[in-house]
Amino acid sequence: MGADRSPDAAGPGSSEAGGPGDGAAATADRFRRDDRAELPLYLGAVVVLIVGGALVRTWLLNWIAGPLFVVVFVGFGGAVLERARAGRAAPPATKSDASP
Amino acid sequence: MSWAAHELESYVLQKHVKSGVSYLGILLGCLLPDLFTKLPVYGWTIGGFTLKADFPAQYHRSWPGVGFTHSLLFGVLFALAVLAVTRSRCWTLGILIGEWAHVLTDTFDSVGTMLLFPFTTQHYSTGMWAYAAQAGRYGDAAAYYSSLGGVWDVLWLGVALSGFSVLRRRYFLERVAPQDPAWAWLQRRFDLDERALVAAYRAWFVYGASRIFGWTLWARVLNPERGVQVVDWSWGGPGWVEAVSFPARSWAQFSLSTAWGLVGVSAALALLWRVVGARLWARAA
Repeated sequence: MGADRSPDAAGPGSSEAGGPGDGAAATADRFRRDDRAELPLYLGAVVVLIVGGALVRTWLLNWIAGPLFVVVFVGFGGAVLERARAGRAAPPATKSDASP
Repeated sequence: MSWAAHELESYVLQKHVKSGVSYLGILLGCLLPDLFTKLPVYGWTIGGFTLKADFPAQYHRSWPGVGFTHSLLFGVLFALAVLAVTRSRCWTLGILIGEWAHVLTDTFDSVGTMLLFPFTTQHYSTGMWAYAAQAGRYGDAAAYYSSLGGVWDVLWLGVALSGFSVLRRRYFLERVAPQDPAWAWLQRRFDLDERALVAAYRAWFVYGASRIFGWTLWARVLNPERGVQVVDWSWGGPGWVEAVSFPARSWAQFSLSTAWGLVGVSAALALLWRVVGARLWARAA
């Protein structure tokens, strides 16, 4: 958390490609990609809220804990998933790379 | 009372309002009438101290009690107070719209709301499902999600889903966040990245939608009394719980109270606008 991805920075005009039109299209594309990437997290949050909520009821299904759980689950869960993906994508470190 | 409808209606309103209205204001308005009044309705114990209303429906929706929180004028007064403190038009409008939506939504249970308080204590209700807070939180949940109350929540979920575009990241980042400085403040204060900020915007939708199925799962599958507390989709049901209501004594009295209430509320609104509202609005941004 804490990366500079503020609404202002991510809004239209903060082009990620050449011209302004390309920038808007690239931004819209990124929004769609990010929405799709986060879908499993939201589905996970829904499943936990439904099943967990049915079991523990008001401990989870109250107007503070429920929404807070969604923010924490998606916010932190997304960061964990991102790190895991980055770890998988990075080439495995060899012994000589790892040595000081 | 309505359960998930109050969370979901904020997104439905967000879809239909023009720019210049804060989503967080709408959400606060939608939650406001129950915000500080709900704990004693079901009862709350901490240590040896118990806070519980003797007659929940009277306390929650009537007078004497805190039923004034479920009136149109309360929304106006609260919104004016917010306008005086924050000088924010978008928050003022959001709170007003949200509070009125809550008050109108709650007219569908058997108790209804005192829409035109303080000029009349007449309750306005369609009696679609039974108000059952007197049965405790779980009794109320079982009654609500075994009656047309649950159908009402599903209806709101359907309406909210029909405007799914408001939940998209693009909508939030281009329409919601830029017009309300509170989002930038939240981002700075809690060091939130974009993902967490979008999640905060969507959180009450996810919670509201999940709440419907979580409580239905409990009421219809896990509830030990589900054999007695059966599904009853009749108007005013379920029949196995006492439906509390505050009906008018006669149609004549209802008409008279309503006429007096409408005149009183209209006059109060005009007076409030002339005395404080217009001045506060003019100096706000």
